[in-house]
Amino acid sequence: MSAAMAAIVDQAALWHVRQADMSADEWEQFVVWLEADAEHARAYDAIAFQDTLIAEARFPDAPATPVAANDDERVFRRRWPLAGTAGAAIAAALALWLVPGVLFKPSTQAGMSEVIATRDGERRDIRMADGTQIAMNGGTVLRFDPADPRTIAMDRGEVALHVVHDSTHPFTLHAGDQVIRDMGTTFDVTREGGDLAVAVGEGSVMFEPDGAAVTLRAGEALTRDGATGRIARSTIAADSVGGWRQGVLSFDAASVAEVAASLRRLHGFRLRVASGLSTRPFTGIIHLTGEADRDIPHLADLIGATWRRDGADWVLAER
Amino acid sequence: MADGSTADGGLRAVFLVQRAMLLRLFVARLGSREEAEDALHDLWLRLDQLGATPIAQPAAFLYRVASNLATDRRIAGARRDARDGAWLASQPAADDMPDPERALVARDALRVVEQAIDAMPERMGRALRLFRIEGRSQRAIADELGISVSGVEKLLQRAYRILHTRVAEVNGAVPALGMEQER
Repeated sequence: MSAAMAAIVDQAALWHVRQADMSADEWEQFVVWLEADAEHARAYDAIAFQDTLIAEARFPDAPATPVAANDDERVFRRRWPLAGTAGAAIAAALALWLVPGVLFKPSTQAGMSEVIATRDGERRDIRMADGTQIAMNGGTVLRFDPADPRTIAMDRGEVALHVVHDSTHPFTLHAGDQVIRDMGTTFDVTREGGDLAVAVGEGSVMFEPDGAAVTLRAGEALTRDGATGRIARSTIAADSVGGWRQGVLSFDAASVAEVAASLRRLHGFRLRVASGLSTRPFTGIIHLTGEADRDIPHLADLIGATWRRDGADWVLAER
Repeated sequence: MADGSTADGGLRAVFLVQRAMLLRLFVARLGSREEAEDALHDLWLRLDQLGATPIAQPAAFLYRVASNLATDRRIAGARRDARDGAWLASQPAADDMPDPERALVARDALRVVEQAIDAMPERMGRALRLFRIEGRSQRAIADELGISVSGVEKLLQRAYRILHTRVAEVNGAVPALGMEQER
């Protein structure tokens, strides 16, 4: 790169990092700079794209995992996806979706008229006007009030969130009757049937701020059994949170039925599990390609089961 | 938005005052007058959903929203049409690439960015994470890192420059954009 080009890239980068604080006058100067030379616009365009990649990138300095929670219950049976290096996450950057709205007013779920849904196997990334990013896994239904980007409701599915913290307007996620309030953070929420799972990658969240008021910090997770209402806490690898976006799933004593539900959500596989097998526990890591005819035989191998086709469906059964 | 008519009207008024400059921003970012008009119209339609509470600096806010809209359109355009999208695939054969291969190129770009972040000095990587992932202000990052605000700005500028250089190198020295066809 020539010295002149390097100088242009430096200018573009400087404009970019200043944008959050720029006045209207400075924006006009920015426009004038963009117009002055096609190379300016080109350099800025590249910086803007790389900026979207940064949002998807894994950072090496994730906060250290804190002291283990005082979990008196050992039955932690959720799967936690591990972040992998083979990032399919770029798909997310390419599907950024701007949700406008900077209104900060109290919201009830009743006002949440806008619905965003993904089919099984579909991915969608949402960027709220406040900068908060929400990665939606497949099979997920979210509702929000267009006037209030700081509150969302999750009917089902899984989301990974990068929340821009604002202590005067905390970000709140409603999952049925449960409430999760962000305190500056990256976290993952899964809702399957009545069960709920929350895992925190950075910062902290509060579960049920007006009730149990359980604070979860980076590296901590919580599951709530929908049938009994029991809450179990556990520790996880903080950098694994939201890692389903990279296609690597990790399970800790999860039932085969849960594993199948994860694959259905992430890749839309039509996968059934024979009754004798569905409650069998599985612990391990599965690297998924997204192609059913590779992934399902691989899974069957890992859990010691057989697989067969049934029309468009796949069936796992005991050996 | 029943309770927001006043502030909403305020934002519309600000939009009208800034309209010409917003259009210039879109033209400069999108490289096409037609698409810029379209984006401007899109922004106008979104005003309904934007602030019903007072915004401290409404004009600057509109520019930020416009800038994000422009970037989203560039990404969508790059995906829609590889000719437009050296962002995605600056390789000469990009036009002929089937979608999976194009996705592969995009994944490569992410990997390059991740490797570049890994290789950054610790403090630079940390500043970048605080800025981009946690959305902290330069002031807040300066406090956290114990350096001056201008020091933070330089650190972030260098970080973006490094990423730009690395991506350009991997893309085979082809400047990462394809806007010239439209100019």
